[in-house]
Amino acid sequence: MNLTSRTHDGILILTPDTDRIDAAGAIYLKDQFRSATAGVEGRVVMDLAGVTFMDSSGLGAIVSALKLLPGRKLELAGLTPVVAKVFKLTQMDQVFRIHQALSDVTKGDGANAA
Amino acid sequence: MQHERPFLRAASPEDGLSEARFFTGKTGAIRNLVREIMQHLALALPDNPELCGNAELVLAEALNNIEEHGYAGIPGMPVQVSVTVLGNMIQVATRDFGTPMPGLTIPPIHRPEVEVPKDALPEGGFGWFLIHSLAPNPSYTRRGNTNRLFFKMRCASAQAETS
Repeated sequence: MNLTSRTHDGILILTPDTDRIDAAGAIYLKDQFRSATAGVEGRVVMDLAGVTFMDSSGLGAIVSALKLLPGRKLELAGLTPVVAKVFKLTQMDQVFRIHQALSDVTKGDGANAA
Repeated sequence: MQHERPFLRAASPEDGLSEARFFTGKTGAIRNLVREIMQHLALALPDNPELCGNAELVLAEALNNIEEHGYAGIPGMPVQVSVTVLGNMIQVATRDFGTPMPGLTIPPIHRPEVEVPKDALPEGGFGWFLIHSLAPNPSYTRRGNTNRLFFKMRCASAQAETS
């Protein structure tokens, strides 16, 4: 699994190149995230619109990624139904800043937490 | 161990039955099996993606748990899975030869606390919580040297329709 990164108006946008963040892929996510965000001071948004499945191992990897961002929240965009359910059931949806879609972030007012 | 191709069987449309058996082969075998079962379930339950999503999560969590704990993280150990569709209900049964569940019982319902400082946020411990949430009253039996797990899933909306 790879995270592709791009910057939009100073916001780092990370996109996993997989449709599943599960036990088999979770171990790679934290390392990829660490190198992608090294030295980045601004907002970081992970675009999950292409991720149709995430299990508790994947959730754990996202939480470990959050801890790599001192003093700010990791933002997530475009949660698909199963992914959104995992965040909601575990109440991790309160821990992250969640946007309906990446376009909510790139349009400028990305504050509509779901 | 040779990675055996999962055995999947679609029975008559009347009972909507589907079944799978497999042996884990290597890292990624669980993902491949879950994917294959889900393709099958999507055909059996085309109008119920929510229930299928619940089943996908329960299957993945149960199989990961067997590999990580029952088999101490060693890939390539045997697990049998059967998946049955009965109307708007999905039943999943697994059988493995790993170590028994601690206390010979399924862990109680426990959601790790998330209202804690960021550095203390839990990165694990959610697997059984998700299973309990999506497949209420999971069952476990130890018979001989085998562990057997059994899960039943219904959609919240499907439950409302039938009650």
